[in-house]
Amino acid sequence: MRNSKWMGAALASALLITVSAGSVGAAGTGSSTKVGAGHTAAAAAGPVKVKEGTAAWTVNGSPVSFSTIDSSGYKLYSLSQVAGEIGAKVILAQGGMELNDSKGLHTVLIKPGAKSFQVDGAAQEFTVAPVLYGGKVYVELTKLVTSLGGELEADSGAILSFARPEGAFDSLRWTADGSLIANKSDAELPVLLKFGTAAEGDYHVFSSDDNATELAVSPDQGWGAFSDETGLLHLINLSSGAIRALGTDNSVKTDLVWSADGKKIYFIQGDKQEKIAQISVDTGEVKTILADKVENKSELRISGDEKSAVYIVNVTGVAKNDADSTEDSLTVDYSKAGEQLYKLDLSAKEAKPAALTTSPDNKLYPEILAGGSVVYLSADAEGDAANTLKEIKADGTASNIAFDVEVNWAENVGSGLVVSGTTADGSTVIYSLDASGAKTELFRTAGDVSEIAVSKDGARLAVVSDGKLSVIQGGKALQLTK
Amino acid sequence: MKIFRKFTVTALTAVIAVSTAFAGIASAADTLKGKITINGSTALLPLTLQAAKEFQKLHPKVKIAASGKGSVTGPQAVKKGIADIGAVDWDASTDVPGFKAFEGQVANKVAVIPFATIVNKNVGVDNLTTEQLKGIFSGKIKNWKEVGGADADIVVITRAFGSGTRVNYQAKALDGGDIVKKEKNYKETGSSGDMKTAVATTPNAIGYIDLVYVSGDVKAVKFNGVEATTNNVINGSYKIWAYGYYMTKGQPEGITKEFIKYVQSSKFQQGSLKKLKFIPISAMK
Repeated sequence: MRNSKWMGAALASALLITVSAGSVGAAGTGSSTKVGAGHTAAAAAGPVKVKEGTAAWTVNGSPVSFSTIDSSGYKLYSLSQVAGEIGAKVILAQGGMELNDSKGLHTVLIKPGAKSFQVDGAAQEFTVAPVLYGGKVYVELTKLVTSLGGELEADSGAILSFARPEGAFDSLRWTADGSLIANKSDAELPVLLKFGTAAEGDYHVFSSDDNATELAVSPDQGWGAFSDETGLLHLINLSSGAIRALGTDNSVKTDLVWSADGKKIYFIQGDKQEKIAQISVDTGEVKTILADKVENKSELRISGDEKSAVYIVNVTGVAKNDADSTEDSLTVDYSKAGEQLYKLDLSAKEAKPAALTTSPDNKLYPEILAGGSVVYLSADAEGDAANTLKEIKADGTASNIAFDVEVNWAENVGSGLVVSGTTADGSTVIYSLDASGAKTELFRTAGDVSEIAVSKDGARLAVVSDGKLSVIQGGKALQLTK
Repeated sequence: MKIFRKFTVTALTAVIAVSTAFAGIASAADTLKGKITINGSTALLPLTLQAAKEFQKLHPKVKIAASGKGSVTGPQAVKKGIADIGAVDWDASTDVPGFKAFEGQVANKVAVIPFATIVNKNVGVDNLTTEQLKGIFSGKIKNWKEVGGADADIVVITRAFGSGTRVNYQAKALDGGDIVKKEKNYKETGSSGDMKTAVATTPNAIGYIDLVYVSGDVKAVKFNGVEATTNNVINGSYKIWAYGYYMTKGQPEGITKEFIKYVQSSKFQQGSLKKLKFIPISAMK
């Protein structure tokens, strides 16, 4: 607890001032259990019996025993002790106490004996007025904590100095310093928050650039790349938040993918997503990799050695009509419509893309594994088959990767895959799958999982489960939002 | 805090070497399944396909098959029952010049589409007024020198009948004026891509196109002194734009309704839609 001696002296002064003003009853001293109730109405009713005690809480995860008094049936907490534990400063001001949280975001004015108090200039009411007892002021815990921007959960007896943000979050990104960036997707304007992952309540606004919500993160997790509404690429420093333009090319760019050495960013280019190109991170120079006039490319992946690219072509249906666009003449053939995987040899000049698939199933999350295999999630929209993870080996042979869950997400994380799926009882399970095919269960929840991000060192998972953002590390889960 | 309520953290080992992993993934409770067919505007096709890709990550068992053949074929396909959604660059539930309303169809706004007047790069004119454009596309103005340019015949490139771009260009740029077919110096194209190619490769040509397709091989000219930019559309100074719609037979239902909701969602509108150079519908409020 901070400033306890100073606070004791200050409150003694406050006591004298208050008593001399005659607005409250005489405060008890020492171990006396009788005290002026601390506000005019209670004072008029005469002294109230006070029972001293303690209450066990955790503050930011550390156990704390707070001094309390029971007054008029309410448990009140030592203001100075609570303020000290959550890092708020207390000074004497305007006949009472002014409290400021450590971030300087909130100012709270409290007067012993007065139910009314001020939070950032706005009046609020305690249920029970703060009480002077034994040279200390005792207040309602919840209103004190929340007024200073903290969070309190009575059921678990936990207090956080800073409340966790509330709302919907997506687009999770780990950064090099172990922080986590997430898009607050229900905000009126897009906003990225950056979370420290060592403790709850540690977050700040990282960027309000409305184009930066979908970042492609560099292999060293130091930079994020994004395009804006004009087509220009930008880089954002994931430590400082500083943004700089990369090059001057303003063509439409989607599916940004960093090279393993962090020197290039590959992307799908063009208003019809018809090209594959790369841009130099150093010079901003754009180089076309593939311009085969095949439109609707997406889901670009580049192998770690930059020798091959895999992408999806969304094959459209074929509509036909006559020169006058008459309704009678219109026909549409959707029989070939859907996603097909293609592979391009980047090491050979003038190489032609090779089709890897021809089947009508939905194809999602293509990945290139270290051994050259390509995996993707296959979903059957028109039959009853469960989603499966399919592997196409470098020699062209295809097989299913067996799981005891219905797969709904997969991503290559370097040495293997991380896969999410749903069990028969509706639980979500996340596995890692190493190069030998060995599976390890990483995480299981009965709730819904809508986002997953794995840290660079593989030691931490971030998930959005039932709308709450949590970090899983060291066998524990830390819930970062509420 | 109660952070262990539903989680079982089995063993997060360091098998994972590198990741920038991120995803919006399907809910364990996801039950959406089936096929959505979409036909119509070629201008809206990239938006539709991008949205389809993202929607399928949330609902892997929904297949979305799309095709483009010009705006009018969108509501036509819905009317014929060969598409669930008709993508069109005008509100096809109301009469527009050249097309009657498609009765019983509901117009669901999905995007704002700016259009631009484009010319071949050899054309020296940088600005055209409504009256000048009406003169050019009606055939009354035949030479660039009549509008401040060089002494050269104007080659008119236009979209074929049934194009939403054409409907909107006539309504907004030509103030309802006609595009008159000419014996010479006149060409019709079937898609936005063909239009751009034709203008880019035909000296003294003029045409019109979705702003997203404007690139360095053609020149966009100002309209009544205002540059064709998304900002000028949003601030109301540039008038050649239209809403893009998904037409449905009655109110959308089931997976079709869910897909349209996704396209209209803030996440898609403020994210991928903008990066494809469309304007969110909320920007015009």
